[in-house]
Amino acid sequence: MTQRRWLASAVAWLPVAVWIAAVAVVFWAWVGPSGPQSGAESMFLDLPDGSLAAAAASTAVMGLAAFATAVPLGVGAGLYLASRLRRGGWLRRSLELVADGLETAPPLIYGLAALEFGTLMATDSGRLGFGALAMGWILAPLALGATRRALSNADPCVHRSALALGISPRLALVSIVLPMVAPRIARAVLVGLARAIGDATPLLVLGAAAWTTASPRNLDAPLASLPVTAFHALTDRQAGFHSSAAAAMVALLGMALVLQLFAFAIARAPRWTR
Amino acid sequence: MSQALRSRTPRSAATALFDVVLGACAVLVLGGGLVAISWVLWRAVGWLLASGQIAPAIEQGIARVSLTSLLSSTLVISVLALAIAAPLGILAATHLEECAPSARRRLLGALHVVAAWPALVFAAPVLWLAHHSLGVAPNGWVAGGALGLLISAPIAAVCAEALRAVPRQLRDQTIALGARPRAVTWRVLIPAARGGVAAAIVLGALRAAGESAFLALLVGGAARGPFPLAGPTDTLASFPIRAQPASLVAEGPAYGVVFACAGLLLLWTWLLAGLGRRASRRLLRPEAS
Repeated sequence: MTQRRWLASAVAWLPVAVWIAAVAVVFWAWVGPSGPQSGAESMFLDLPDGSLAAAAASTAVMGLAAFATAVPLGVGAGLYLASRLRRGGWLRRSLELVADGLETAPPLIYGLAALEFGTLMATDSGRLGFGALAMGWILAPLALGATRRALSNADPCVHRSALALGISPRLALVSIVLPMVAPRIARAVLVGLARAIGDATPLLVLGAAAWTTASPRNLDAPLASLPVTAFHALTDRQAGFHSSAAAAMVALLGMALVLQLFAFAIARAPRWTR
Repeated sequence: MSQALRSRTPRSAATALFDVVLGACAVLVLGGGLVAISWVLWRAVGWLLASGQIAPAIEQGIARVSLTSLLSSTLVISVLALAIAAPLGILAATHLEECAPSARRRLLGALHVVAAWPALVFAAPVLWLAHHSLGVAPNGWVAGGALGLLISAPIAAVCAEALRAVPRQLRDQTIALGARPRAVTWRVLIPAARGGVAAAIVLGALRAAGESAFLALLVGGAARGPFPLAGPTDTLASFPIRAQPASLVAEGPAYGVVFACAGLLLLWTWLLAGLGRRASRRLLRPEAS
């Protein structure tokens, strides 16, 4: 009985354990004997072919640009679908079907669409702006879906009570219902952003550079990103590729963890739960 | 809620403006996304019609690639990944139901955290250990196995949430009737939560279909034989990454195959999502439970 329980416990922890083992291997490749020997600064900043800090800055700029544009649009669209269209009506059902289709589309599709957009505009698609466009296309349906689900799970009594007290429908939605569901939306969007910035797929099809040496000044800067750096370092068999790839992945993992912590903190913040 | 929102009082200018802004957001998001997806599908269909064959084969570098071999590799690797991930995820979720609340909270939190980590971090150790240290040539077995382990965390997390959503009274009454915790889980909770479990498996399949960069690192490239697991292979998701479309001639055959792969991958994910939605809706019907 004890053995069966132990086995069940081991199986339950396996999905997490394999990830912990993977992260441990990556850390070992970063700091272990085959890793860089010239001090902590070189581990983070100056790799043989470029600067990891510049790649991290490019990732952050791209993520921020996508977040700032796609999330308000996605939340607005979600509010429109959930509150302005008749439940069960043909228009709402059709738009929800489209929204579901956009949310389940693989990131590769949005990368290729951004590549085609660059071809149409007769410009080089290997720019941060096109990466941000692809990331925005991924994030906006995600924000829309999160808003829609959060509003449909919200307690309808609160909204009805607000209307009964004479508050206008717009004010009830914006100042009462939306703050109530905001933590759920924020959490879903931040976790989605963490996954989007860690996905190399749309950026690889856009022709992102493996390495960059200069931090981006605007969205016209060459497209570079931590996952792309890690991908190219993994496919490169030159000396030191283990540690270069590991350094990029450690930085990427750090960014994802910061976003997840932020999502967790937002969901737990007292002003939301009051 | 929408019925309640449609107030009978006359709309003020601010409310009208608010409606216009929300409508514009919906048009931008849904219209923009639709244009992007339609464009990719249009290119895929256009190229397939222009090439004059359903399963064209092209020379990509030194390898000969055909859409049928890419499609079969995708299906086989997805099935292998799900065969590993689904039992593992369900077992993990059922164990969560049986363990102490503090351990459950810790494990569920850990599952949610690792489910959002970048897949490349998982691919690197597999690449280093299997291919570089052990000298195993890239093949579908390694890629499918690694993909299965990768998607087991999200499947377990969603499964656990589905089991938690089963009404508390159901399990309390079964325990009151003398059932053991394991019997409660397998005979009551899982049948009651089967809609959520089906949704979790479909979510895992969707994630498996979309992990292009992860697969591009592990499959080795070039679908050759009829049995895609034995040696180096390619999938609908990995081929577009390996072909590097940004450096291809826009009207060339390889560029067309990239879009055809993307179109097929999109249809595959939509089919999976549709099946998942249908399955969960059927399983959630009152008469089905």
